[in-house]
Amino acid sequence: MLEIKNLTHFIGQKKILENVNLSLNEGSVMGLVGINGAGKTTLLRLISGVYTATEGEFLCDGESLTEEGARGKIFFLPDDPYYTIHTTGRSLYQMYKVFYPKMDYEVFDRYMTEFDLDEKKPIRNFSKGMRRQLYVALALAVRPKYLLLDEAFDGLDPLARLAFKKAINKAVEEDGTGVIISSHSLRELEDFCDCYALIDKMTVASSGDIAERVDRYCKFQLAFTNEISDAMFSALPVVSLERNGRFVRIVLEGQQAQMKSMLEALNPAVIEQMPMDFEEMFIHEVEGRGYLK
Amino acid sequence: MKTFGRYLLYRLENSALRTVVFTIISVIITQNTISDCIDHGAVEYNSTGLYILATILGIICTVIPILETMCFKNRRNLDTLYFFPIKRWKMATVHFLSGFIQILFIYSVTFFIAYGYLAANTDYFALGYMPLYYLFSILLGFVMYSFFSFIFGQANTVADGVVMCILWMFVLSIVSAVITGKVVIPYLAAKDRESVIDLSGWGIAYAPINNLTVIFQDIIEVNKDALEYNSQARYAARYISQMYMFFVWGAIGIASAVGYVVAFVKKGAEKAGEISSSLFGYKLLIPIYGYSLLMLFDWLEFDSLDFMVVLIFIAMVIGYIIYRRSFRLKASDLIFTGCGVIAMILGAMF
Repeated sequence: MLEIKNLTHFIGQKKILENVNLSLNEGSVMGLVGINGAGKTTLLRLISGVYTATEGEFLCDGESLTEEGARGKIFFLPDDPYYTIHTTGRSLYQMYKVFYPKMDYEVFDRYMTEFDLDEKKPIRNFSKGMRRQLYVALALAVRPKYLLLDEAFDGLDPLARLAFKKAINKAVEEDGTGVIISSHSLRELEDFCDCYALIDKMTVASSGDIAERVDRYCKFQLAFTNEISDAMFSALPVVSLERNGRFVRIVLEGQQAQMKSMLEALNPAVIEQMPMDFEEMFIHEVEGRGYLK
Repeated sequence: MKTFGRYLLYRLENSALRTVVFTIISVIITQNTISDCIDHGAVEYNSTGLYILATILGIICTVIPILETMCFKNRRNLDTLYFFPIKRWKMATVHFLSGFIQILFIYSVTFFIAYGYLAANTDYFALGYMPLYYLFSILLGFVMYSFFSFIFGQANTVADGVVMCILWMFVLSIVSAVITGKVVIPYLAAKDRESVIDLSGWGIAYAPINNLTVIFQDIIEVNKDALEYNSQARYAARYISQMYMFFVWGAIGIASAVGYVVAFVKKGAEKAGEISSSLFGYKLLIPIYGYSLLMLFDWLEFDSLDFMVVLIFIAMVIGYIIYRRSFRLKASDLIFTGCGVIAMILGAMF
């Protein structure tokens, strides 16, 4: 298990993260979400050891991540990884091999072939998506126990996203790799992740199982025959309300059956339950915290 | 082999091409210079061309620390380099050792080819002292390399690092020249002693290797003075009193190397690409150069020194504005500028 305990971090005089506590199980995929500047990348940099935390502890299977042995179990794929004008896939493989002696060339080669990338070509000529695929091939060849991916889907075309997700899923299923993935593509995360952590106001504002969290909300579309007002809904646990004449679209926090019966008590002519997804849940959560209004 | 060893080997392999290119250039320059000296008749011309070896050592000890650690000045690079499972101090040490091994290789190949060439083509130099020069120069090379590694390591950007290295090269040059001209020489003249202490060259970072080379040129290039001493060994022995300086330089070299590693470990990746705020950077250099300029004007008996104090003060403030990339200076900048001005006024008074 990857654990973050009581993490607080300052950059200069500015507090970036405060009292963050988080854990990730093996074989689990966590979506790290939050608005721009929330501290997602900083958190990944802190876990991976790029930044040194001002306070707090990182444990990998009970061992401190300050130890080389524990650090060897994680792999961080930043948003825009390092390369020079001479860097090739091959030269990167050689560099990573220095630090991960058990790195598997066959796995690297297999993914390079699958992604249709030439390991001898300088990667300066690669698109951002191709570079990301190359680094994913490196990450999977390392066979890390925990994989940290920053802005994972950024720059990938739909086909590349599919290949990328397939490769990561394979690592999760076959090796039990635990993955933390930060992204703004929440629809992608919903397909891909089983849990999430929302970073807001310098800390983990909410976290847990994505499906469970989404199920806490329910969305309905209503139509009324009579004139209506917002006050009619004031007794309900409203998360969001959109009213257009006699038509209402409402998101409520609570059990679906209970919410439905509460709405039916308002005598709508039509009541229809609509699917709720992770992105909507995220928007409602951050709206509830005072953003986007 | 452990990660440390593997990484060191990787660094050396990775810089092999650069090392070979530097070596070839160094050998060509050295050979041209030495053969030129010999062609002009070394005895009359009285030169082994030893200074070219010192110059090459000085250049590589300045350039290689920059090339070896410039990758740490870019935050994007650090995202990759710092997550590798190796302790930060080991990573710093690997880069330090790798750079020094490159210097050893370039300098040693250049030196021994030059030595062989001199031995094969001349018989009028005391070349037996060349290996001794090699050992001492390597020690001073280590000092220069450590010093520039430390200074470059203080910067957060490559450009700041290069500027800081250049400023530190000559940091006390004016001060030492002025002290020599204003204090030492008049004092010795008053005591009716011939001036033998010349501090004017000691303010630059290359002073130790320059001094060593002057001494060894004197010893190796046999001349009348040596003959008067009856033997080259006795002639060389007169320099023994200066050897204590090697302990001083050695201590500076070790302190710089330790300082480089400590700063590397302590400096957060967050600082890469930011304004360089080290105490050994502009904060200190701006007042030192301000004070040095005033000393120079004072020594040259420049008219209207008060006006110069104001001008230098303004120049220092501009220096801080350039350093901060902002008109909003920090309190520490004003304190350092104030210290510089007080030093200027005190210097002008005495």
